[in-house]
Amino acid sequence: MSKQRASIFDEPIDLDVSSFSAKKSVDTKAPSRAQVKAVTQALAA
Amino acid sequence: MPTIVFASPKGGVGKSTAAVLLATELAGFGAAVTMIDADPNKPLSLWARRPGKPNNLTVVADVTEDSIIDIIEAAALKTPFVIVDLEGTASMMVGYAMSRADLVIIPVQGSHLDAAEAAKAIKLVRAQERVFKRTIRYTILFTRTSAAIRTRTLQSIEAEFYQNKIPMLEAQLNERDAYRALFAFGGTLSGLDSAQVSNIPAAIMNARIFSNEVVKMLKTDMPVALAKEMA
Repeated sequence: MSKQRASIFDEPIDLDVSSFSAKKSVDTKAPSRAQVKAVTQALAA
Repeated sequence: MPTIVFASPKGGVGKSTAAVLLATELAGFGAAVTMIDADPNKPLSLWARRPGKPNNLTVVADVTEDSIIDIIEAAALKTPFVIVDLEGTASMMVGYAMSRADLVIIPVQGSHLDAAEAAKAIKLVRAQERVFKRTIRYTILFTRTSAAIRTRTLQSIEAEFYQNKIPMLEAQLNERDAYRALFAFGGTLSGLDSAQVSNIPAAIMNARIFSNEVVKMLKTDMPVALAKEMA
């Protein structure tokens, strides 16, 4: 595995963030608070 | 659109530092960002009170277990990027935030203790994936690493994660004076004074490489591990 290292000799990188936008609506398929709580508690038990 | 959650049950691993670096990089390239400060120590809020915070970056504090899901969902409707910095403990708030995440980043220092704590966060992600039958992308971020030396401990931890198919960012956040200085002086890396802080260009490059990898990851719908294998 090669690891990227920060180097002041590297070429500057521009971040392209133009394709990201705010969500249009809330994800209705996301689990409910109660469902998340049950999973988290079960894992902690 | 992405909600990025920084999570680790262990404190002091660099969650807030990584969150601020990513947020300021994104904001620096024009993206509106909401940071949600869910750490009771309020590191992001303290940073934001100092001068130099980008105008297109908002920090939301006063987050509770009862409110965090609503706050994340409301922020995601307002800004393209939502970054959540969680407390360094295992709590219900962590589970709630993960349930709304497009990407969970788990910072780990190069120690076996940190790696064991990271495994707890991974188990919570996987439990949610299994029960809710939805993919939550996650990845390890090594923090406070040496820019010059890759220690044997770090190598062994990397090998263990790799064998267990745990996704890891190629980029690592090195131990840098400039990252500590951000919280002392506020603002962004490029706003730091080179007379007071050493080696700012290397810190900027390091943060840029990390942010670029995260942005690239967010642009693909593939699971993180698969994306890395194909790279």
